[in-house]
Amino acid sequence: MSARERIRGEGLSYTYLTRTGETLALKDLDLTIRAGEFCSIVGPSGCGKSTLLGIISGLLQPTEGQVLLDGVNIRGTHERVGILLQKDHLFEWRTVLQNAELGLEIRGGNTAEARRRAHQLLESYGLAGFENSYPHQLSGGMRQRVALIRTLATDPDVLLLDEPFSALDYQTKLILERDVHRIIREDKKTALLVTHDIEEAVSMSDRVIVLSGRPAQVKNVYDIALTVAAERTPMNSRDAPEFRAYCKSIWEDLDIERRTL
Amino acid sequence: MNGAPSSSFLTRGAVSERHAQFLRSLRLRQTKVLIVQFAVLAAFLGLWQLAATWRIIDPFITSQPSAIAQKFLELANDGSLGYNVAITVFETLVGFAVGTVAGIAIAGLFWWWDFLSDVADPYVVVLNATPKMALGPVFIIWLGATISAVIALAVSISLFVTILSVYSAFRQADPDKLVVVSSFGASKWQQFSKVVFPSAVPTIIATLKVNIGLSLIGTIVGEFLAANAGLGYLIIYGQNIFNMSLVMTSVVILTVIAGAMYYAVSLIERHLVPWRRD
Repeated sequence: MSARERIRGEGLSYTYLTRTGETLALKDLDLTIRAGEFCSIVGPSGCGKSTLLGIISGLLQPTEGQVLLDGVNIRGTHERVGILLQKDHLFEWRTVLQNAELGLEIRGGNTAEARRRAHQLLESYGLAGFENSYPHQLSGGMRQRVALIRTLATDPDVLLLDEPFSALDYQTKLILERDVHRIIREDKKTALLVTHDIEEAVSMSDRVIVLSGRPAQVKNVYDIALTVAAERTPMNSRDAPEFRAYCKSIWEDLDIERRTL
Repeated sequence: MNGAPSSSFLTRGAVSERHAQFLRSLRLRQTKVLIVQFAVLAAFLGLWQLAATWRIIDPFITSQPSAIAQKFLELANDGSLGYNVAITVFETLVGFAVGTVAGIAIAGLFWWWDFLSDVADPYVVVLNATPKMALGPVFIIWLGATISAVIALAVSISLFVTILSVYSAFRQADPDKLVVVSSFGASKWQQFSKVVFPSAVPTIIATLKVNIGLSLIGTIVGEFLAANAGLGYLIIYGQNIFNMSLVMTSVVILTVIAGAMYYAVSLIERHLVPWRRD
């Protein structure tokens, strides 16, 4: 793994303003994500995880602080950063292929070459023959796969994943986790996953960042080292001897029981 | 094909004996509905004709189908049928097109610039609530007793309701879909063309269906007030000379035109909203 840092957040703060007042969601938060790394962020619900991802994606402007991509301050969205959201948000008036090409269309990179890649991605993720179907004809897992391809078609270096597996049933979730994990490994992409699912975070990541309750700050960071027989996958990570200990420790960091009871 | 392929239209396309039975009962029902629909129409026309012939009702007041048919042929032969229908259809279509296109454009402007929409909101709401028929005399004084005045009335009746319903549909576009396109760096125009407008297409189609009827109302009322041609004019003229057959014939033609226009919009819908077809 390369130790070069790809994304760096410096002194990030974010305040939501409404008529009735203001809410501090993030306060002076620093984080670093290395190139080629799979990093997860877990935190108690409502702690500002999604806000943090929004800032890194450029969809939200931090109230204070800055985001650097390969050392360069970025404002607004960036073509090297792709996002996968909790729900697929496919456009029901577009076919599967047209949905997959959405990002290319907007980025202006809708060349024959790029279209071929979208087509190829659909094929390699089990969607061959569905190119001209409409989203309502697909299952939940297939829909999220199309959303993934829509993001991958623009060939981003950094993938931001905002709980993309949480709306899926358990089996579909495991398979999609495996696929995303493999893509990120094979194409040497950098991934930042926000999730409330501790096992998901530990099984997929090289590193897990635990946030405190609102306003979110970094509470703990775990470098995940698991002993697995073959090449590491989210599936076999769950059988590693160290797996439980990481989960238990993160669970304790989150202090969920004291918060909710 | 296995079994005995029946040549009957009731079982055409069947893939098995069970499927044939299923299709037969389905199509038999459709046929029955169609037959009864025609029977109701025939019975209505027959009773009307007989009641008038036997003087149970006064044909001077109610007219009768034979007189309407005769009047229809008369109008068709002297060319006034085609002329008046063309005038009414023209005014309706222009009023419909202008009201709908302008309404959608203004709704788009409101979406683009929400300060304008906030400012204009009470005015549009009040204008929408105003009975547009009351504006008829205003248009006639401004534009004269012309086709323009009739079209203006037809436009005014569909414009404001189009602005309100389409703007509301624009605003209801899924914010998460806007996040998706924004994450790809979409411009405001791309947000509109990729998400906001397509999301509103079902609402726009529903608006088209309402507007075609509204424009016809505006046109007929405009013709009542000001015109010297068109079906509305024929109806008012028939009333003035107490020629019920002329009034009834015009009403019947109007019904057919209204039905045809509605059907045309439905065809457009099927073409524009393919993702809802099944």
